[in-house]
Amino acid sequence: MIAQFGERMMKKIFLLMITSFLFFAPANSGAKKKITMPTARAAYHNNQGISFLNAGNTDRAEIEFKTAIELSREYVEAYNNLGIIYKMKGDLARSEAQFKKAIELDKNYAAAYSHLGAVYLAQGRVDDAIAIIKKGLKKDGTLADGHYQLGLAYVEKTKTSKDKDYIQLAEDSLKKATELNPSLTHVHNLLAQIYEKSGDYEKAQIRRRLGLADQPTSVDGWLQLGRLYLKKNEPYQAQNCFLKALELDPSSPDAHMELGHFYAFEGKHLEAANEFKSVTTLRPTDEKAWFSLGTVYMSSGKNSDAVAALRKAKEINPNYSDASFNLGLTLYRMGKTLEAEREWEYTINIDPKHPRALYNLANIYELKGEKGKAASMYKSFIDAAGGNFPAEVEIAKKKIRGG
Amino acid sequence: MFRGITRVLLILSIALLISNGANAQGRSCINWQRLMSDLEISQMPQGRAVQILEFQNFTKKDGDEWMTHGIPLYLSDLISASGSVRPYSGPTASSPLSTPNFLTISGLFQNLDGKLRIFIRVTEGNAGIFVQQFEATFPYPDNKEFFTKQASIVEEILKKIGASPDGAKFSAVRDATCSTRAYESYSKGMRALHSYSSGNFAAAKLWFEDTKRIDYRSPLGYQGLVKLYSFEGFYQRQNGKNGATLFQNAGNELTAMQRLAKPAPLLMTFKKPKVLKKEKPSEPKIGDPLMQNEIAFQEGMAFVQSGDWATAREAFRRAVAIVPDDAMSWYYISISSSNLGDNRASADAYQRAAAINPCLTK
Repeated sequence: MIAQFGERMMKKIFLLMITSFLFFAPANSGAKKKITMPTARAAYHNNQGISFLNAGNTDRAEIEFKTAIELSREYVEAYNNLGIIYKMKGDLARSEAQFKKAIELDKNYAAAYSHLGAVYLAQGRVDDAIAIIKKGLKKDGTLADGHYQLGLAYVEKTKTSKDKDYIQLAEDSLKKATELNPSLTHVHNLLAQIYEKSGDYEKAQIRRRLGLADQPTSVDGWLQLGRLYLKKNEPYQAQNCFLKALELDPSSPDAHMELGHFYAFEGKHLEAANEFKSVTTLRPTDEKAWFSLGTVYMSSGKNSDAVAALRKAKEINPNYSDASFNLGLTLYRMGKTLEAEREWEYTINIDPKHPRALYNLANIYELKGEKGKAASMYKSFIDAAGGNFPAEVEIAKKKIRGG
Repeated sequence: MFRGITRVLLILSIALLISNGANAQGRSCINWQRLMSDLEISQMPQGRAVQILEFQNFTKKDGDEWMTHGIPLYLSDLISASGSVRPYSGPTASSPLSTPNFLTISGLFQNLDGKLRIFIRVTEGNAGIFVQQFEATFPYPDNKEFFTKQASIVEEILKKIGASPDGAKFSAVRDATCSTRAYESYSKGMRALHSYSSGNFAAAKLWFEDTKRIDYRSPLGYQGLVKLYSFEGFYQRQNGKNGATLFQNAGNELTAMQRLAKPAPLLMTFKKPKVLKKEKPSEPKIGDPLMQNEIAFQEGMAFVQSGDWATAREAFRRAVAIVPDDAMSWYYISISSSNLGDNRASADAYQRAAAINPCLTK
């Protein structure tokens, strides 16, 4: 869920970046750099490129920026814009080269530093990203994007380092970005994520609300706030947020999905199933919706419907180990032990550390009298349990000892 | 070597092809699919066999059909860069595999709102024992990750089976183009070519030309055309017609590829023009077996015209060493052997030619 939100947010951020940091070059504007002024014709092509980019035509935009460079070989903005195009196309090496060229031509061109940092981040070079973005911020500390990119880099650091200072650094950088540009909704949301992760739900709520104040019709914003209320154990507040999101967009699959989860949590299986069904109609390839639908059916004893929905989830995503596991469980409940066994064997093929599948398979092997295979499965289960399932771990240990 | 072929091709263009054995119905006499599959298999390195099946088009969006064959084609090209694995895909995918421990790669793809998600499943042997399943999601179209993500998966597969890719070759395949649209056209061209049917030659040519139009710096369009023209030339020859112009076209594409198809520089560079020295133009490296076969065949034909049957036979033998199912070369080995008084060799070669193309000897 967070990953999905993250993707959507990144898309928005990227679009924002494009509109905020592409450089229109007025043909006769006074240059603040020492480098050669672009010719009027070069500036025209640079601006044409931006127009094509905003229209989604990256190929034409690329040609226009290249034309601008061909006409004015030291045209810093055109290199910067071309770098953005390459980054959009996933060609990070070329993107990096353009931003470096822009910096080489104008060492004070702060935007190129943060863009270069973003490229390093995409390449997984987090420390390089931090260094170059900081360098850019020394040139111009008022660049909101620079602080935002630095915040993102620190967020990345928190994933690999146990040093809690990085959380604070990320928070400081992102706060700075919103101070410089208070309407950066995505930054409020990113801060909210950080606060949520650290358990500071109050601050998270404040940031979510600030984000919604900027974009009150944001379906995502309302859904995120609803999810936060669920975490705070305020289910009815959450329901209101989800309903608000549906009011804004009745065909939002995400809003139906969240409402479905809410009903499932409340034990309202029928309502939950209806919401999940809506998602499968609106977004037929949403494996999570099929999985949730199957799981609700399973919980309400509608085994045949559950099998159909879970098979669909597995068909859409053959790597979906929980769908395969629940499918096995439903088949087992239907008395189809052999099919359940095959399904759980599939589960551990794609996810060798799926503890529930390992434990259930061990039980099945034991019932079939295949003691050796059962013991091996119990051992794998204990390894995979990782401190969870204490009762089952004890049973498994006893079974192994008992031979 | 390249000048050699040009000279020979010129000779051919003015000489009459001595092809009294060719039959007007020759095209239906040869099983082209089998012949070309056998040729491709004979070019493969020694090593573990990997069968790559068509991918399932899960979301069935308009315009995505090409990936059913395009993804296996790309995976196959990457795998072949290892130099120690035998990839069976496209026309060779249905060839029977003799080794029991062969791997099978299958999968599906989903086009989800600007993102492509692919699942790549690896199984072993006839029983289809599960080895591993990979998943990748990336922006689509117009994003380089289409190539880099799949390449990373292939690297993992190769590592898993202990076959390390040849770095330079692997990068060359991975970085052949950044454009998914160019690869789409190339893949469509290869699909048309792999039917080995004269009715699809024009379509294949259009797709390869389109590949060049979209990304002229990519070697893919040129490579496709070299393959197409070489096959067409070989096809014509087996039917007793003159395919020299087609091989010349293939040579021209090779030259153009050397001149134009280079990795685009990271930056647009503006160096001062150097004073050009008169340099000997480098000759393109001919890697296509059909072109190499043509060179040997035409050498043989030149010696046939001068009556040097022994040297001619040597050249035709070189031709069949490269393409074992070249019926026309076997036919001329038979004629040369007969003229040299080696009746046993003549009869053997004649039988071989007849087995490949029964119409040739009627």
